[in-house]
Amino acid sequence: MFIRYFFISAISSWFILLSLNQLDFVRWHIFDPEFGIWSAKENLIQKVSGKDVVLILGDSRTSTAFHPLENSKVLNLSIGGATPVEAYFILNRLISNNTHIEKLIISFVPIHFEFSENFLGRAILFNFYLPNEFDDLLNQSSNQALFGNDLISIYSCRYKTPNCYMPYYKTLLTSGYSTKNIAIYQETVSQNGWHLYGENGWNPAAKINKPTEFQNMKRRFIPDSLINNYFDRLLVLAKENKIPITYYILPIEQKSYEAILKEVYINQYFEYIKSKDIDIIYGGGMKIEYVGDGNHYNKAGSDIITKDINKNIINR
Amino acid sequence: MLFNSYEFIFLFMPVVFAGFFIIARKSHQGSIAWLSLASIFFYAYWSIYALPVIVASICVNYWLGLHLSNPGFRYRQPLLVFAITLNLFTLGYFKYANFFIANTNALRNAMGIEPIGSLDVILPIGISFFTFTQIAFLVDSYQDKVKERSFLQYLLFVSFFPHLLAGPVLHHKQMMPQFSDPKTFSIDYEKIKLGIAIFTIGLAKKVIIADSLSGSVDAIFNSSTQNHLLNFWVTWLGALSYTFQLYFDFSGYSDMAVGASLFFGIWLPFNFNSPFKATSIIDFWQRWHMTLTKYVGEYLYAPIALKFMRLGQGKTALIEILYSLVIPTVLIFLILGLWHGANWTYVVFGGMHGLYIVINHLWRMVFPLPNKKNKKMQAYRGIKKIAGWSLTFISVIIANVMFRADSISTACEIYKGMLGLNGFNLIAVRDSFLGLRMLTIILTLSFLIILTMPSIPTMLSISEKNTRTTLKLISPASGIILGIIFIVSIMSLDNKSPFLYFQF
Repeated sequence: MFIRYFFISAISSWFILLSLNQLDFVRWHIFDPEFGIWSAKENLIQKVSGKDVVLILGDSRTSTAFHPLENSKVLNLSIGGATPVEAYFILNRLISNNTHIEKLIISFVPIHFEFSENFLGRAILFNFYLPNEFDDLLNQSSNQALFGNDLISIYSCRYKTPNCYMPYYKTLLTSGYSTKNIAIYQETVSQNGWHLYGENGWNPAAKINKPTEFQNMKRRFIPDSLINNYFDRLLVLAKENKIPITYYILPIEQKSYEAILKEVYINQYFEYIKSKDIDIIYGGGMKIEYVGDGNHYNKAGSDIITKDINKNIINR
Repeated sequence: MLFNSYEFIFLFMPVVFAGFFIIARKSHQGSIAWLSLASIFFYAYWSIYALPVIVASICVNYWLGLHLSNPGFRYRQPLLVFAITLNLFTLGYFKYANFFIANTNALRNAMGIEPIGSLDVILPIGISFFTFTQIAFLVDSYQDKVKERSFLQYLLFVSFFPHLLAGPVLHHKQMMPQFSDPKTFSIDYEKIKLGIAIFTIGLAKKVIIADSLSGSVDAIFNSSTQNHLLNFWVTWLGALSYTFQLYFDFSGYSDMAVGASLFFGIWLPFNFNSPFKATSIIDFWQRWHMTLTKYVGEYLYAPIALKFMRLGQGKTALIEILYSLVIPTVLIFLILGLWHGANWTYVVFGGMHGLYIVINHLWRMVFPLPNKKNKKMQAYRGIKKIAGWSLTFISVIIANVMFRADSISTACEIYKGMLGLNGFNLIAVRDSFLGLRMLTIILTLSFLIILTMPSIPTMLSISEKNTRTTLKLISPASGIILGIIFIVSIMSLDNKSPFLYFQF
């Protein structure tokens, strides 16, 4: 009897957990506010269907850099931890939605050309990819391990199996993230995709106490072949749709600048971007008072960059 | 291969289990060979480089044991000395050589002499455990206490995978008879049920509780932690978290070892018996890592204490206490500390516990326990129990800081905080621990478990008089509860981490 009940209970629990994972409100509760941000961006893609926009694509640094406060046409669909893979799919979805993209501004930190740090933990976990996008990604990849993640883990998270979600269930013991998620979602949607991290953002614990994460001991800047492939496809897609592209190299905060290997993450990275034959604008340097944490700008930093972009790209 | 991994639970265990009982139908020796091979594979899966060390150790010790138990052999005593020295030398070479070199170099540096280069050795996992196990076998062989002579049984006794990497420390008297008992080779469903229950409890202890505390512990004990954050509240919370992490990790491992072994019908000794219910430090060591305590008591403490006691005989009372209690106890605990690892922190940890035990014994000498029948003393007994429990618990937490810290200076930084020398700012607690609310929940849960739940050995020993408790453990209701706990634990395995005691 014990063994029978043990297995019945174990199997039933697994199915109950699997079912719970399919419920949207559970996901809003257990995932941290990155989920709210990613959901807001997906919502914005739908919301701007048929409208004219100046599109900004990039990663978390970019998402804090350009705000639409002075220009309601600006749509910042940069996502924390995103790579050109996600950027390509976003542009593709917008074009399919008949969104008229007047200009495209792209910016990624160098490491997001080298690997996808949040492929499993966010893009797959948050079910960002549509089925055809997921298939496309698997077809394009020659590796069995996508960005270091094995296919079993990828499929587990894709189909929301309990082993993938279990670590996040711990938040059920506390008050969870629903309130924060909803707040950041609404804020991000109302600000056309712009939001802050660090001191004024959702995670105040991430204060300025360490340099940027792209401090690295690597000797060469080597873009990942899959990411490079999608970056090329992103540029081709934009050119095919006659969208003017500008690559904006965002300013680096002083402390982080001192920490990085200049030859690798300045010179070789610049060379790589230059090889793509697109317009490039260099954002220069930035003082520490303009960042919220080691990697992201605060409102004052965002103001400076937004002014620059308005002047040099949008109103040019 | 970790016990808390998919490959162990869903591949290794079912294959070994099926193989063991299928082969047992034809040959008992064959199934012992199968289990030994599986254990060797389990070990090699961890570290193929260390495999020759354990295999050589088993073969050489078996051969030595045969000669030691041969009454006709003339050189038994010198051979025993040689055998023990050989084992200790092997352990010393792999575990302590670089520690010795580092300390020698510190001395040479001070004297202006050029330092010696360190050795390029990889510590074979579990070496402390299999060395101790085999020394006991050699001593018992010498004392004619070993009955079984089969190499296969000896091979399995040393290499049996549930205990191989981090104990419990086994004694051949407990194990060898089980290997020759025909009942072991037929499936015993009662034992399998108990095995499932105990393994699940152990898995939950490790995955749900211990691993949840590791982040908070690392935040405090990581030497890069800013000193101003190491204040009174933060350090005590960190030390308490580590105490619980260590207990749930190690007792979780031990339970899983017992549970896994029961699938093969083999009982392993229990290692823990609610140690945090102890009301004195002597009581604590009778409940914590019990197999090691028993081993040390039998093979180290008894002969050493006897030698010292003879030295103190006929001297003043104070000298007698010094020889019969203080020196052997502290010495044994220093060795016990060093056994855990090649670092001075472990030696100090051992010394602290040695002193605790000495103080506890002296206290008992000066203030003996009041007569149970004396009703007037009942209230006093109650207060003494609570005070004893608190003092024991706090003393264990304090010593564990030394056990966890990577250096004595890190430990001292934490002790400074625990003494309040870095202030009492409560806000630092929020800044030091990510997920403070979760930490509070896990610590509360840990307290509830250690104080209210009976230990597994307690449940099983009650069952000898009254079977209800064992039945409860394997009743349909507990099947349902344990099934849920099992799936929650299994689904948490993606973030698996090795057991803390593997490093020893």
